Amino acid sequence: MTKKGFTLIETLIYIALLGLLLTGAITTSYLLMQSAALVDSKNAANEEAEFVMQKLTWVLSGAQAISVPSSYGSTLSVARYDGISVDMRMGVSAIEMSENASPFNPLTTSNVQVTSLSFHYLAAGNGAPAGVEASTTVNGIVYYAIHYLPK
Amino acid sequence: MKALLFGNRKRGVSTLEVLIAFALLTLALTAVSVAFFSNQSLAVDTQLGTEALSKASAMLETARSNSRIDFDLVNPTTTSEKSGPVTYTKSLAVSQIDLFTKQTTSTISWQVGSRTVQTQLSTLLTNLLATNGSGSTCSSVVVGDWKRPQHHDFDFGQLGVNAGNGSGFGISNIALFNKRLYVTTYANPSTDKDTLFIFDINSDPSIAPIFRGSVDNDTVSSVGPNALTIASSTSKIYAYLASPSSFSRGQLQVVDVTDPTKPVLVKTFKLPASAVASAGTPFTIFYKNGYIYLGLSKITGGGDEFNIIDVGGGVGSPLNPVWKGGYDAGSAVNDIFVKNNYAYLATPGNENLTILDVSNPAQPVRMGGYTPPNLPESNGVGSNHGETIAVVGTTAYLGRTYGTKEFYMLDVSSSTAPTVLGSLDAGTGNLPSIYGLTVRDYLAFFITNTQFQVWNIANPSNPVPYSADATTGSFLAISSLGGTGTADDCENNSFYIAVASNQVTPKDILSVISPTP
Repeated sequence: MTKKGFTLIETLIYIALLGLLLTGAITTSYLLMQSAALVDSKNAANEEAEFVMQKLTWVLSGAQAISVPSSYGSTLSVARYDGISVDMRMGVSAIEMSENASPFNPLTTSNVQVTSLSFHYLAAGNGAPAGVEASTTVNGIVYYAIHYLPK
Repeated sequence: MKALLFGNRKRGVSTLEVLIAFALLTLALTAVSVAFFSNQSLAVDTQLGTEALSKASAMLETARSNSRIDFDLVNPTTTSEKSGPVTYTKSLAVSQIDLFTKQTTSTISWQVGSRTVQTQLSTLLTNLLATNGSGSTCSSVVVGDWKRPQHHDFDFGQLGVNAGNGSGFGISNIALFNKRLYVTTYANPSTDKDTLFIFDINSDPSIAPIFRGSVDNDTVSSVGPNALTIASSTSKIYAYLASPSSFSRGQLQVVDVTDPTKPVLVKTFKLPASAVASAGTPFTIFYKNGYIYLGLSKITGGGDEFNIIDVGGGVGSPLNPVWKGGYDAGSAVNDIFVKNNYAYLATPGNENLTILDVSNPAQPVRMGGYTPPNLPESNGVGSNHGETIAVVGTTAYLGRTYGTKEFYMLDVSSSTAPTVLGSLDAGTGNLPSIYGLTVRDYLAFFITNTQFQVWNIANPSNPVPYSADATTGSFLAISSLGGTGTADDCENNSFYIAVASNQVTPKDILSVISPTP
């Protein structure tokens, strides 16, 4: 039968180890929280930017003519073959879209920060259809798309 | 109870046990944090994937746009693009699925640590122009080893053509359309022999063309057509012949070749005397979207050497062609290429290339032209000539005869002011002459009177010889095939060329030139 507790040295070692472990755990937790926030931000940016790009694809895949911009601009006005006219623009802090001159509705939410939206009109020529080059910056990440009118 | 469980041992945990517990706890925490941080790399991967997807989509969109400018501009490419810390490799693979369709696949790949990640999109593009004969069925996608072209030669007279036609009358022109070969001969020995011959061709170049049928373009003349082109509608296929057989009867002939075993001459059309008052021999013919463009020899006393004939673009039809307009080129028209609203003429005048706006067929208007420097370049045979012309995208390719520079590449994005991108001398001195010219992606293929030449023109300012005969180390010599090259056409990845034999007993050779597989 042994009746023995920890020695002072052992206790000090345990305290030091626990301290190390706790420091590591707290640092890790902080990083984990940071990481989670970053992942959330990236995912939100991705989802919302993809949604905007898909909307753009829909607008241009059935487009008959592009009236705005004539060269570069932050507004896009398109007449579609199905009779719908669509406008896209950079609002106060969100990308907005309007169909048939109705009030603009935001395509992006306050979960992301949209800092830019630009369109570049690619003129038709030599048999090539007209097109649009679009880019937007969501949460600091640049997204890019290019589409030509069906022909 | 406790005694039962632990026996008689009454002690706390040992230091070793505590250390093991700490180690396990550390491992568990590490695993949790690694798992969590991998989320972040997943998010980065997703973001890169999204970026790559947009790039892959943009490549296909650009390929689609290019296909509308010119189907021959849809070719394989590989580039790289740096985006932040990531370098994307962007590849466009193009394969010819059939004579009119290309499959384009865009692949974006990048490195994540030691992993190579890629995103791939694919689509089909169709050459709508070529389906009715308005475009070429020659594939711009270079397949196989064209540095070592091989040839399979067939004696035209031994291909089962109608008795009495034989060989040695001179093949004037060749046209390939949709797995069929059309051959015209300059002459036949008597007025009742055939001058247009139709063959089926095989994708295997070693298999001889299979004779299907033939017809005489003019039963009262022994002179055959100088050139032909093929066009099709939903139910009919027509061969349009540039016929010099008779000025009084007509210069354009239409043969219904829908049934290759029974071609039928359905129309001989005479150009109006108001445009062509005296005899002009048709040299060349081009079809585009319901219009025939006919080039004649120089008309003495003035007249339209360039003529536009409606055979379906407007009120006309193959059986009822309507002359729409003409242009007095002041010299012969050796070759014609029509693209968008412009006709490009290769002429033997000082202005070797003339560009006409033909958007109004009734009134072709000269926009610009190109006159090579250092005129005249006489070698005792004649001054330089514009002989052949091809246009891909906004670049015109001009093949010449007797020039010290027989080949010019010209930027014709401005129709009024073509500019030289590059040129080359296809042979020493004033020879040879380029009689056949095809450009496929980065390669230019020439039929000269002596050779089958392939040049790499990826850098127009510095074209370099590409092909070499395995034996001689130089270009494939046509003389080794039997004589002088007179005509050529390309379908898919093979060239069919006509060789006029210079043997004592003359004969015509059909040579199929293909790459080493």
